[in-house]
Amino acid sequence: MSTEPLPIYVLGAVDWLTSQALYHGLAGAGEEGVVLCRPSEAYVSLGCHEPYDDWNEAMAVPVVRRRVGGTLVYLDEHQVFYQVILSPDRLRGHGRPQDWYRLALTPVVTYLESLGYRAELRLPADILADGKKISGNAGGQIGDQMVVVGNLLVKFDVDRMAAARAVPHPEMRAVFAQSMRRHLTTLSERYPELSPERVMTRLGEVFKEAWGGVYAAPRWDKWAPALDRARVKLTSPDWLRSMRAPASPHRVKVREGVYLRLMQERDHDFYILEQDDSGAVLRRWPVAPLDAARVARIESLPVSGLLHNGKEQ
Amino acid sequence: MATHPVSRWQVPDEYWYSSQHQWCRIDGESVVTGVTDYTQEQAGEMLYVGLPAVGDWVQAGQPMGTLESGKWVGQIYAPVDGMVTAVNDRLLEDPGLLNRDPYGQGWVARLKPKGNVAENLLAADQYRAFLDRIAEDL
Repeated sequence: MSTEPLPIYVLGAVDWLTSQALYHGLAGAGEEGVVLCRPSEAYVSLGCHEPYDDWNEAMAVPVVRRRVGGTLVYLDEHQVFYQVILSPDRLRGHGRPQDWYRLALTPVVTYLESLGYRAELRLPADILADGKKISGNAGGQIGDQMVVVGNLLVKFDVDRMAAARAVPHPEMRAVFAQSMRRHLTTLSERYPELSPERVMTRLGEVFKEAWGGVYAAPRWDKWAPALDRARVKLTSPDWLRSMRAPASPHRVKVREGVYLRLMQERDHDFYILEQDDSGAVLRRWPVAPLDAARVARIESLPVSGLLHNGKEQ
Repeated sequence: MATHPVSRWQVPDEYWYSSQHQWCRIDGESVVTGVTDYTQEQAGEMLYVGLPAVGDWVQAGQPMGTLESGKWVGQIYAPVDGMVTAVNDRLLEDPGLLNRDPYGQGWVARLKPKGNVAENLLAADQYRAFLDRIAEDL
């Protein structure tokens, strides 16, 4: 088992592609550590298996496909990234992904609690603050290393996030933004003066205290070949379009356990439903009818039973 | 001392196993492979599977595919050296087959092996003992 203190790299702002290449490259090179950074430009990151068509190409920002899970996210300079890269040797006694998430994300929960939030890990990998999502997370095995990555929302532009997602109905984008406003929060809502750098610094302290880590200077020269390989791989057209997972254009995730779905009833009434994991309806929005070509892509599940049985508000 | 933890996971006698939790079934001159019950149980509900392409050459111990559960992406490793001659496309539409029937309908790929298949693999009894040691760490 590795007994070396875990290095903690507080890197500040890095260019958008480096903010993804870091954890892919370090893990692929067999390194360990906690990387704290933020991207200096906005971009979109697709999940490892996510259909490319989930991404709205009309949005003029760069796109990358990561090698960890989850769905499309819009990322920008107002989000603090933490990237936990561990050797399996350190994970004895933690056999399942949910155990690894809990291990890696507990310091983030601790940090939020120190700010006065009622913070909790919502399995598999969301962090909620006072019941609202404040951080998205994902993980995976890259090379031999276990990797958990996440972003803490200092500010979040829900309209830009909604614009990044391909949607099956033109009205769903506005509904998506509205739903995110209900279910997401940011640090700046409570602490308007809190800067990403301040968050990064404090988060580094919490990781250091939790795991007995040591601050370390980045080894850019040593890392350069691995980062270069990762930059090329993550943005290559073949990799971006590689996944053959079935597209799910009718369903958009808002946060863990909350989804939007476009539904049709009686051949002419269309709704966007906000549902929880059990299928119960949290909200619904009647929307304009679609043309026949688009209708063919929508689930034909009738919505009436869901509306009556759900917790409609 | 663990109390017979292997009872948690199915390990059919007639298969061979890798230490990365892939199984192999020798079928004439081919090898059919997939992930073990241990893998599916540890990962939880499978949501996506990434398969190799037919014609790919794979190397024992190296990733040949991916699987995703709960926002976690794990690797599917090649158990032997060889060429992929078929993949189970049904997994793309129904990844839950890996959970429901990992040794049957949840097969991942058929390989034309190069060299002795069993040389670096574990027999069922050896794999059970390997799982015993893992279970003691959990």
